[in-house]
Amino acid sequence: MRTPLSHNVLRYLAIVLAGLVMATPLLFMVSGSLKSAAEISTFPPPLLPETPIWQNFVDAWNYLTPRVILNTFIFSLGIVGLQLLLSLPAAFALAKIPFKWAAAVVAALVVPLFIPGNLTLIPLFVVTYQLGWLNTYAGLIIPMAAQCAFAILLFREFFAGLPAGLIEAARIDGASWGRVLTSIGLPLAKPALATFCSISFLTAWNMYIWPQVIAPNPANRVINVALAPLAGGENSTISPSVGLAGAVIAMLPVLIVFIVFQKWYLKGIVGTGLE
Amino acid sequence: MPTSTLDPPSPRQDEEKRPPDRSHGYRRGRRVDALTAAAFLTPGMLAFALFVILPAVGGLVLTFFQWDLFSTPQWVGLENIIRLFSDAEMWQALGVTALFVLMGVLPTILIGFVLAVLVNTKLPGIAAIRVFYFAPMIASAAVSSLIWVNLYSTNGLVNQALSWIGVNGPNWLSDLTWARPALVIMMIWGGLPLVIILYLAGLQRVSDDIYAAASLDGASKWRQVWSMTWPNVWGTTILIAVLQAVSFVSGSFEVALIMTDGGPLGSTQSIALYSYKVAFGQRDIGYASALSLFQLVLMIALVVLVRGIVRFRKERS
Amino acid sequence: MTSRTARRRVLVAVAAAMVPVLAACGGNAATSSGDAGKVDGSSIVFTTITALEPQFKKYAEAYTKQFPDRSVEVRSTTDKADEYAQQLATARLSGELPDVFFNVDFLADTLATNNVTLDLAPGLKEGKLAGLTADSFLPQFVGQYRPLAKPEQITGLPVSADSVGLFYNKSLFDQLGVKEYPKADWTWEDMLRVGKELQAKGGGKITGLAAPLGDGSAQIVYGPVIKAFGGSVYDAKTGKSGIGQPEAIKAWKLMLSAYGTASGAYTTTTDDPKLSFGSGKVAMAIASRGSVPQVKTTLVNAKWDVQVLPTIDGKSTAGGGSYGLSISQTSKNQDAAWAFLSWFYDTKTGMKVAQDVGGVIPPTDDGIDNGTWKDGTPPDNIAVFGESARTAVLLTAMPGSTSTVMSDATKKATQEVLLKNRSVEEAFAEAEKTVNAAIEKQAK
Repeated sequence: MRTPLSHNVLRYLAIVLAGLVMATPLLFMVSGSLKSAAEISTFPPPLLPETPIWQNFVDAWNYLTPRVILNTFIFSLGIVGLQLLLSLPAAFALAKIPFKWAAAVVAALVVPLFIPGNLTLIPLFVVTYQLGWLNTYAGLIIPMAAQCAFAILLFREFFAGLPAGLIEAARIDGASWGRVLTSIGLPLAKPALATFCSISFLTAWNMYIWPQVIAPNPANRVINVALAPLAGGENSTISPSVGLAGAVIAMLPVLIVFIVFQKWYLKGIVGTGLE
Repeated sequence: MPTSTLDPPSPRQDEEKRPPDRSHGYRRGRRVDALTAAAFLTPGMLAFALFVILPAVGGLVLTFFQWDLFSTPQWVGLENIIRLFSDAEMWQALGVTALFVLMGVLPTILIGFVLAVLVNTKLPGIAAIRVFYFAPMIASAAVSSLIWVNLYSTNGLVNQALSWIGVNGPNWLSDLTWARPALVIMMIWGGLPLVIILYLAGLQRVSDDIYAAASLDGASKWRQVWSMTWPNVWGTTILIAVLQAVSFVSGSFEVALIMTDGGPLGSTQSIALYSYKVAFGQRDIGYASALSLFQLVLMIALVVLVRGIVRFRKERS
Repeated sequence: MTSRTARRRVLVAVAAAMVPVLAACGGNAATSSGDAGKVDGSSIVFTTITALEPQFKKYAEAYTKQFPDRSVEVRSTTDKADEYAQQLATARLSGELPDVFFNVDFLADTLATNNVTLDLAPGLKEGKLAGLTADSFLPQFVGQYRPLAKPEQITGLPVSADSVGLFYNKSLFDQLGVKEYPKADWTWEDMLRVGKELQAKGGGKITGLAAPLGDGSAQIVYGPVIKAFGGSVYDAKTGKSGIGQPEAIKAWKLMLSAYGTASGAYTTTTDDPKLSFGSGKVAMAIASRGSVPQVKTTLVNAKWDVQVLPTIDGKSTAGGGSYGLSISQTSKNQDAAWAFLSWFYDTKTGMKVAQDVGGVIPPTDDGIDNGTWKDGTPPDNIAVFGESARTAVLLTAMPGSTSTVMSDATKKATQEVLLKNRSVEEAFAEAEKTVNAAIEKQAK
């Protein structure tokens, strides 16, 4: 396929322009994190700080400990990993194994999404508390990993797109469903896996209501709970810039995940000669 | 509780329905399928039942109680449900919710798709730029809302831009007519990253061969996209539509809470936001649960209705 | 096992699982009684809102410095009232309430009636607060933490005798050529007149007077104004609100007249830069003493000061209120909690740090008169907050969550008047009806 150069230039321009619109909060965060308390409160806000205040990052960093960062990784990776374990087989069964009540299961997955999470928070807390999981990693991770409707729906949609012939052939050759999933489904699901992992990691990384409710103990603190005091509020004396510096620090691992995982969900299965 | 939809049909009925001339081996195959499906589903469904269904039911059962978070819940029977029907604020919120979905879902899907096609390329440096497209998802709702409040304020960037073309812009977020569209635009923008990322994954399944064939025919680029790419990601589109509907109904109320607090005069207050304010502002958990229950029942009714219409049409044609 | 019995079993299991879930929501499952505990070698947990965390961390440090074997762990995770209440609720369900925690007027009554907060009155009588008794505090500030049903109890102690003042940006006045700075003998008419002049000269870029009513729910402003006109926001004796009565209507009309003249157009968003004195684009604003530290850090390039709030018919219109500190009934370290409070409220120890760090005004006569808080300039005229603290009309304690209903109702009425041209009388009569209905329901 050959495209004229001017075409590419135009496309490049469009990509950058739309990207800038989408990226405003990110740019605002970075620029704001380097402003002084006076600059950040001025209206209309100056685009860039006059002199970057790196001290903001030092101030924000003081709220973090290695333990907090380790906790956040355990929490986020735990959720991503557990969700994969719970949702991949379920999604595969729903998409590819013929059985009668698949539609009902899908409905049962979707319906609870329409109940606002804040109403179920306290009952969820009670269930977890009754299990004796207060202030434990299990309490932090398992109830959140169980919120796997999105994962199941995403993977189901992806598996459903796999050619039926491929799977039937494997079944006729005597492969068990488990083998079909691990040796055909998963390798081909790389784009979906990468997509899911980045979204799920981001969601888990940014959680703070659940961690603070179920694990008030500082030993279990995750990054957004630790940085919460920086969010300040009315009459807070902490400069909002320090809060933004904290947000930038907290965002870095997520950015890395997004950049790295793109490789997989963009190469994907194109060119494997599947079609 | 809609237990019937969750219930497995009895295996006996299942076998009776099956044509009798099936071979023994086929039947065993079906049983293996069913057993495997059960085994694959069980861990996920157990966790889901314990940590999603059970709390959801627990939350909805509170509909029949009066509870302020701190006292012992008092049984009040149907009082909260009866109150729903005479509550003008609820009916208004219902209308707002419907408008949010109508105004928001389709543009999010279309814009998201176009942007995904746009960045689905191997131009140099694209990997870094693409991350920009995920920014609204990475930044917290609080940070994003702060920026949009600034953009929409009377002397904000939006009105400055409008003044260049001679238009005197309204006070967006405090205007009875304009607050809702302003908020929907912000919510579309906030919903785009998820849509783009899902479409990007979906696009990887569209083989290059299709395009190669089309190029030979000389089909224009965008016609290719709509006639070949779009139908090929239909499954993804359905998934996105469901997720976006969920998001506009109950997910994105936080933005409205921060930016307009549901105002002015309730014009941006969805049922989810109203329920949130009843629950934690007025600390009336019972009525908040009734609101959520009502929303849920309506959603289910809507789905059943749509499926019924689709089925009816199929039968007629 | 047939499917039918299986189905029944599932239902029974779900039902059985629901019982503890619901029962536990009442908090009975985890309720334990408190304990005196020991003071030496104690470690207590203190929970507050995020905006106050930096201050309280400093207080905790100072406390541990003086008593190296005692420690106070400061926790904070949110600044939002609703999330804060939710956290207290979950903490209570699991029996993990903090020993000492931040309390606020609109939560106080609910926490008291549900046995979350400890009645401090007996302890105060026993002298647990070294040198201070209930009478040492300004009565109206302690009054916010007396449960409506049991006024002899005290479930929280005020931290700072905060009241509102008129903040003004001298640099903006000068820039716009307005010579008349706010004076102590100003009336509301003066304030609105000068606000109008500033607004006009600012050409839409500068706000003359940040809308006194804010989004329509600023009770700290409208409460005293209604009172000055002879009305009442809430009368605890009759259990009724009077925000729709003729006296109150006069007050609403006056406050509403600011929109479009002195204050620019109405705006629902409290984050709007037009309402924030710290944005440097607002010439005058009615704000609390509590915002002084923040303004200090943001308005570094402008000259600004404060003045007492203008009067109506010679009556002060300054509102006030204070967040409080409470001890939980279930705390196992109640003596240690008392020991910390005792240190904190002593003007030679905790209150000294609080005045230096947070600009706190000790809520005692002695503290107001002799405290070091007055040294914390700018604003040069900071002493006005001492005068107005004594006369301030405080936020009215209302039963349960009805104060939230009140905020919503006045906001709605404000919007109806300003955006839909409804008459003030009608809009606020309806607001009054809504509030009174909620109060009645609460009483049931």
